[in-house]
Amino acid sequence: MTGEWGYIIAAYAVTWLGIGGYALRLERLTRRAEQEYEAARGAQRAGPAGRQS
Amino acid sequence: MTEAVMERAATSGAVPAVPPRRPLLAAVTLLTLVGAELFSVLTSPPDRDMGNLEKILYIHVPCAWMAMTASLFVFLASVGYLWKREERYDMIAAASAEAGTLFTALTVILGSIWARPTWGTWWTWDARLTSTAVLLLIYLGYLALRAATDDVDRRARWSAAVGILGAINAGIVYESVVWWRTIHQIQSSPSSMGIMYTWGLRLNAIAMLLVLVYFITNRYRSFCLIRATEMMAEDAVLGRRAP
Amino acid sequence: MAERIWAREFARVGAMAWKDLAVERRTKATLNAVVFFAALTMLLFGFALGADSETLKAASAGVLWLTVLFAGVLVFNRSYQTELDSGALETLLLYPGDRWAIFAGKVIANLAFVFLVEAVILPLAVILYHMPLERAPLAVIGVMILGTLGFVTLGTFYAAMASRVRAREVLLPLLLFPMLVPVLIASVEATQAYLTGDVMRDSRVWVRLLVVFDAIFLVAAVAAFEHVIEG
Repeated sequence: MTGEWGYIIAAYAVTWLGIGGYALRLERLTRRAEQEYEAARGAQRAGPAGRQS
Repeated sequence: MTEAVMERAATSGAVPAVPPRRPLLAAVTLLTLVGAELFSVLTSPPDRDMGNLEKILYIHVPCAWMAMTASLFVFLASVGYLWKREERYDMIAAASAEAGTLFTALTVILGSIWARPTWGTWWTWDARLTSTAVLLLIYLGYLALRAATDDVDRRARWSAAVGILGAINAGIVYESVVWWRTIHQIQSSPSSMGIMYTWGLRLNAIAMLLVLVYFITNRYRSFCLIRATEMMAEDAVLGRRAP
Repeated sequence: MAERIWAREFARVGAMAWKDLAVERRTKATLNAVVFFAALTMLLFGFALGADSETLKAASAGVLWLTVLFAGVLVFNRSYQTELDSGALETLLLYPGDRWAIFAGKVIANLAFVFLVEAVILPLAVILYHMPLERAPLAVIGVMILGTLGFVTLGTFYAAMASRVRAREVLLPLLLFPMLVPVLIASVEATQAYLTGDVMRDSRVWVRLLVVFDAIFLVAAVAAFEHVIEG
């Protein structure tokens, strides 16, 4: 009975590692996608203006 | 394309509009998850048969439910894509599959962690655990196919077909494995949990559902960002001008 | 008018199957290799399980079906090879007509291949594993036909995709085998039941499952094939 808590803690730890790990990965992915999106937007706005000159 | 044109393209469904960040959803999800877990761990009495180990089931069972829910989303989004041929359906399917894979993996791992002190072994070939393991493999196959396919259109079509067939098979797999165990008269494991502390279970289920929604919406958003960036790059290369 | 269309479609199916079979008949390369691989697999399983004849007999149905799966999976990617190598697939798709005819033709050709391989594996199982086939030979063959139908339907379907991407040798089993879990369980259990006298009439449940599985996935694969073979 006393060894139980080890397994319970392991279960919750695995859950947090899994959910937290994926959340972190998502955050990193999204951050980089946002940067590239903003960069592309910036290039797009600069483009026609640059060609006009 | 100017932003106006992109707006029009987005509303016509050609390129999904990039949804905004939703920090409120993230905060609510996190709070609910922590709250539900604390509540169920602290307030649930030790089960008659299982002792405190029942507390593992408070996360194991909702994870299983979310794995099934995600596969339902994959199925519906895949059907939607083949029917409407709009990219956003493919993105929803892919986002749901990723989250579904996570929850399925968690279900299997937690099931194993629960089995060890309960049955003395890390694996019991129990019907639910085994069919969940097969579901995990189906999910992984789906992800592997997407990773191996570069062309966006082909990847969407193929994933949709594979997603639909995989989702259909999930139910059949479960039935066959249940029969397989029944016929060999293996003691069914007490995942018929008796009377689990329902509020603990319900709160954790709500929390896990929020986690699923959070993952799918954010992954979908990242897909939209990537796709929009790709389209702008295409426009730059092709020299498309604003009308 | 409808009959004319159906007749034309069936002719297409036949032509597709015949073409695949004719190509193979000329070279016989794949068939020989697969048969040898199957025999080798059965031998290796024998070594792995140990020499005790009772163990082997108990495992015979399982080893039989695993061998069918491992050997059969080699057939499916190959069935798209001729079109891929010569670039004929695009040409084939230019012709009007339902894609299901292409699929049906390939399934029929692949069925012929796998049945041929099984015709070798089954006697081997009797010899090497002391499989008591004489108890219910027709029933066991019936189960083989049902199981193979589901196997080949899904194998041909997934190979339409796997054969066209990198890492095809590993992607096909990865996609296909989880889908075949019900077929494997049902076929082995039904075969076992028949081989041991079917006292509890277990076989009925499994045969029903096989029939349902085959029906569902034949329809699903035919319906989805057009989305998969294009592009």
